[in-house]
Amino acid sequence: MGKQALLLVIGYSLIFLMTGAMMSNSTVDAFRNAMDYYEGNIVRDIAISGANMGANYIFINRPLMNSNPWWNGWPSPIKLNGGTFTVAMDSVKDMYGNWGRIRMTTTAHYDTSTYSVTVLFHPSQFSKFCMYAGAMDGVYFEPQDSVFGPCHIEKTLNYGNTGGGIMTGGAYFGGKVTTKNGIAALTNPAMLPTFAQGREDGVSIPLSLNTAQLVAEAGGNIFTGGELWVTMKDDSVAWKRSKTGAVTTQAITQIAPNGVLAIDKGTLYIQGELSTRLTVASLRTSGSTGGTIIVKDNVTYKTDPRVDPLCHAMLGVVGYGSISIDTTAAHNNFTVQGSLYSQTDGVQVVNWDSRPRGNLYVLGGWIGTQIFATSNGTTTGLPVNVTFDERFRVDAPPYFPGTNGYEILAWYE
Amino acid sequence: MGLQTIVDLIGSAVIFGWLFLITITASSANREDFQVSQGELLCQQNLVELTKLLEYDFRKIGYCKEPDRLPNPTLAVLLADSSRIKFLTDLDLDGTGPDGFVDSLYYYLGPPGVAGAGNNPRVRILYRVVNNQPAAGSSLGITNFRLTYYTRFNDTLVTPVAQADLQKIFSIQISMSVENMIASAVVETAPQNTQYQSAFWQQRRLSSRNYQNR
Repeated sequence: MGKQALLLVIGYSLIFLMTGAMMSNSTVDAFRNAMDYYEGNIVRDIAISGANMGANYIFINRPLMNSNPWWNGWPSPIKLNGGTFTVAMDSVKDMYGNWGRIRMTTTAHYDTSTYSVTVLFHPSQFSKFCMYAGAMDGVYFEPQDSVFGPCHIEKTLNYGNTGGGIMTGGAYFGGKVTTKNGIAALTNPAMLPTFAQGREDGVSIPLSLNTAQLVAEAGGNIFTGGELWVTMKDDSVAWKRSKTGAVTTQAITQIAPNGVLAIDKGTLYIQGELSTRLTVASLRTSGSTGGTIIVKDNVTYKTDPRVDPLCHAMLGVVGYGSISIDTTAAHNNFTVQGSLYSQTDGVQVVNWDSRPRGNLYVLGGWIGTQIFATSNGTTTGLPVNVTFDERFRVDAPPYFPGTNGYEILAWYE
Repeated sequence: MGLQTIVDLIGSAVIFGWLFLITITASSANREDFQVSQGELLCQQNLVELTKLLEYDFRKIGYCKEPDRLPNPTLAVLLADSSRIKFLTDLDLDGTGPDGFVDSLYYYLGPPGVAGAGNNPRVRILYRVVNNQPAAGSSLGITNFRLTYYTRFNDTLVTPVAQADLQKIFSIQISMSVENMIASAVVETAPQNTQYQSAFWQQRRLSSRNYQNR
């Protein structure tokens, strides 16, 4: 065997080595490709886990709520699943320049990968409900009933068909439904309602009216005792202390600089058209009288927020006691735009079982301790159509009662 | 030149020819293996890139930096079909992050056969349309893109999802196949498609967190 044979062997060896190296590179690249994806998933999972832990801390400890201290997050890396994560916190304004929102940024590291999750929170308020009832004593969601927005029942959600007859379907809930004690049928068999956005039981969100805060925000302009008749006129209000009293007109920025117009231990009568943000409240700081509200006529926004994206008007109607719809009999189609909150009672229609039949349209929410009948179902009263104001999912009238918790507005990853 | 020399020459020629044939065969086989391997690598890389893009976008369904502009994320899906979906989100259009204004994003699969995409007749373009901009898509060898929609109760929604049922969408299953755009080897006999490397990916239940916010 000579030199040529040796060259041949070396040549073959080189060719096979090169081929092997190229094949190996392909395999390594494929493996690296798979590992990159795997690493991406791992680091993402770590970031989401960190965000969930941070959110849990916020839900439990509620920073800046009820005098709770601020939380700085977890700036030091926390080990998890082979990687680390940190949590940073800051407070941010909403698009209107109001403070109150919290932004939590979770940053995870795994090997050479980094991933961030940003979660935006805001204080949760009762205006986020289209329908809220502390209890449904003797009241049922019937097949023809529908609620197109978030709904919560602080006891048991009753459903059934009080009128009897054949049921072709149950009540319809277009938004998420939460209850404390689950659901119950009036009679069996009864058609189960449709819960299009799901239902969660075991959730307790008791009504919570912070009277002291509303008194403080109403400031020196708060009224005490007797009656207060308020007619909203765009960005001002005309008010009087009795039905036949002298009328005073003031800009809302003047009489309610913080957006809260309130009467304590009296009765509030409201009507009119609004073009700004306002909460009208009838409170009871002490004693056993007052705190009621009577809606005398239509209460509307100057433009309809469902068709006017520039409509920033927002009304909260907050009562310690009942909120009554008391209109003239000839006024059959009645409109209330705003979120209605009754701490100890509910929304009622005066003479619901005797007044001529009409309609009550509500754009906003209906929140109270109890749900009452508003018509006899056939000939009298005002059947109710409550449409949720979608803006209330992320915004609320000034100082509207809060649930004493935070909720997530946006999750970015 | 004696007989022995002639025998040596003939023997050398035979051995050389044999070695030469081995070399050619080995080289050809190696080249094919290399191409197959490269094809699979390309296929997987394309699949991963597509997967990352889809996961990135789909996880932002219903997201807006300013939630007041998109208060109800459950209304974010505008159109849902088996191979196309249109939804609202807040895109990072200029690389500085979401701007707080709602954008629409529309994914749909084009017809088979893509000009300039090699010789694979099954390859399609997955179009990604931002707002009202002209349709733009990438041909990374996608041959199948299938979307299945589920409710909160894991019930499958019939496609195309009716307008009234769009709000019921809670999670989405994404299935996707990618093939090489160019065959890794010329096969004279049918079926020729055996020479296209392929990869399959499925995201079983992808749900945007923003759906669950409220």
